[in-house]
Amino acid sequence: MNDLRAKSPWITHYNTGGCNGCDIEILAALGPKFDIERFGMLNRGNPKQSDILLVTGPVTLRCRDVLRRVWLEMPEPKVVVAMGSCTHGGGVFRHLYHTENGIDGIVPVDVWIPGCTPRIEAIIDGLIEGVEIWKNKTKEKEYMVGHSEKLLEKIGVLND
Amino acid sequence: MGNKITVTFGSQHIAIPEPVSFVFETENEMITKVDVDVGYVHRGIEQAAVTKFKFNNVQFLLARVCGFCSITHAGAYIHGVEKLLGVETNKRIDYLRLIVTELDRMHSHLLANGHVAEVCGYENLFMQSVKYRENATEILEAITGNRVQYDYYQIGGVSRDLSAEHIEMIDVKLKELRVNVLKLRDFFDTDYTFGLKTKGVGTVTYEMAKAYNTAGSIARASGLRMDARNEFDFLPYEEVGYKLQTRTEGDVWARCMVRFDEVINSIDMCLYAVNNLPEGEIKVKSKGKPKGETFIRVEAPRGECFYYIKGNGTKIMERVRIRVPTYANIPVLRELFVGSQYSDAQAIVLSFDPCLSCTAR
Amino acid sequence: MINPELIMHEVTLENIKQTLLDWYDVDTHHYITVNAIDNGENLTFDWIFSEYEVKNVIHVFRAENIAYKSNIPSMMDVYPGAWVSEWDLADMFNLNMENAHRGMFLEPEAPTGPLLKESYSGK
Repeated sequence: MNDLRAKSPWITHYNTGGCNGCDIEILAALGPKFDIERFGMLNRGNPKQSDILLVTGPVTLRCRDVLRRVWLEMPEPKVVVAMGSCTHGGGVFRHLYHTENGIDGIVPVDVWIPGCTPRIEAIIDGLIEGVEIWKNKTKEKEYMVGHSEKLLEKIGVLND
Repeated sequence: MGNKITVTFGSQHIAIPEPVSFVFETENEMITKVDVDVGYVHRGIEQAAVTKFKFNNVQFLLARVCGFCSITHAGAYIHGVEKLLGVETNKRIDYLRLIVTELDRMHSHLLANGHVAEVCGYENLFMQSVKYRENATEILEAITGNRVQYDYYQIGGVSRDLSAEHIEMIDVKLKELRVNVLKLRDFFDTDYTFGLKTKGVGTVTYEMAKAYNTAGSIARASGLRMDARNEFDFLPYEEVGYKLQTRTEGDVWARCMVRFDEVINSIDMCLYAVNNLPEGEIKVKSKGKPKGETFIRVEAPRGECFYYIKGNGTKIMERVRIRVPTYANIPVLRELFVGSQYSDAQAIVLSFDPCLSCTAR
Repeated sequence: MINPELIMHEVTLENIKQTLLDWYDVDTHHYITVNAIDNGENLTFDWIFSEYEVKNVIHVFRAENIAYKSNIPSMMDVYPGAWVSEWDLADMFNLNMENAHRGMFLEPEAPTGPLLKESYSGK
């Protein structure tokens, strides 16, 4: 069953305040030249139907709770792929007053794709690796870090 | 009348790659009120430019304001610093900068038009645009070494030179791109169904464009003759055959067509520039530290990009003010939604080609 | 090298609105932005304009020696698209800007007035 599931992982892409460079490359990867659709990957905006969360950007203060919410709305099992230098600890935006210095500590990450901006080959590689990790995951809920009670109540997972 | 329904659009949405949130209040299909939140991407770059970075490194930070127009942000800053340092660049540097700036405009415009096609239901047309756009990004990769963040501008010059093989390859690829863009343009121009979805939708009249001080392809699609390439001498555009492109309709379709015309014009300019590249060094010496203030206007893919920079004779700049094109187009975008159909909202947003990481910085 | 031709107009906070109402012509002038500069003790304000199809001309209306807590008039009566740049500045410099909504860019937990010198130089 797990192998069949891995034939078509759907992606939700969320930009948490990066420069757009990574997002352009994701669009290019979806295009005919690089064509990640041959691995069954489709970019679908709906987190409730998606398996892979592809995050770019240094996580600004205003995007932080949105990112957590998107992550919480995704069904288990799920994989988080962090793309780009600024997602890995802030990059050029490290220690600015309105960023969270990267995704670490907001949601648990499975695959890191380095580079500013990463090459498309690296993106494809990272996503394939994400699928491999995803195959071995179960439907158990992952540990949630630092969510405010208000947010958890809003999504209805407070008593889980 | 029917009930009022509140529809949210964003911040995470399939049609826009960036976080922006619109809250539409609709009555049946008609939008009656709209709230827009553009601040999701605020990082504090203006403060970082005057605290954390030396003046000769700030361009790397400013290039990360936005991935689409990275070259124009870095370029505007470098033009300003060169003015303050009194560095006079030679013709070859100007031409190389112009080539990369125009290639950046091509790939940005093609992607923007592809997005409009996608939200109108033409997914294959979007894929086609991305495919043709690869020609421009391949050239950029060959010249600068990277597909998106080029870091090509340096104080007093550029980072890499063009070889004879480059010129040959650029010539072939650009001619191929020109044929393909004309094909796409023809489809946008003549397709009946696409016209139904875009003609007469989201019209910005000439008076509106003037009153709200719009910039870029939005202004030019409404007939406003406004282009920083025409009004400010930052690169030798007149020599390479720059032409101002305008239309009068002002709707979603006209914005797409203006972008196509600009892509064609950019290709012609690049072809002329690579085939008439002047001789010279690619870097001239500069010394000293910036002192004084200057105002810079450059044309980013989305419109006019304005910089104010002030140096105080130390390594750290005193003030860097960034005003980007989308920033100027947000007020008219908000006005435009009221009274239009909700089903057109996506096409209107994407025809504006909004760049939120520029806006919020 | 770029060579902007600056045309400076001296104004004060009291007469800026009237000056712009008299001077601004929607057919020829293009409003670029409003800018503030922190000089350490006070602020300098620039209202910046260009002209359509005129090369290299930039008009700057400069008001100097503005105290930090002054009431800054809004120019939305002169050109209705002014609100984005004004709200932005109000956030960034913690200004008393007329009609400005605070929090367009800054979250409540972020520092107030991040572009003020006292907020980043640690004085």
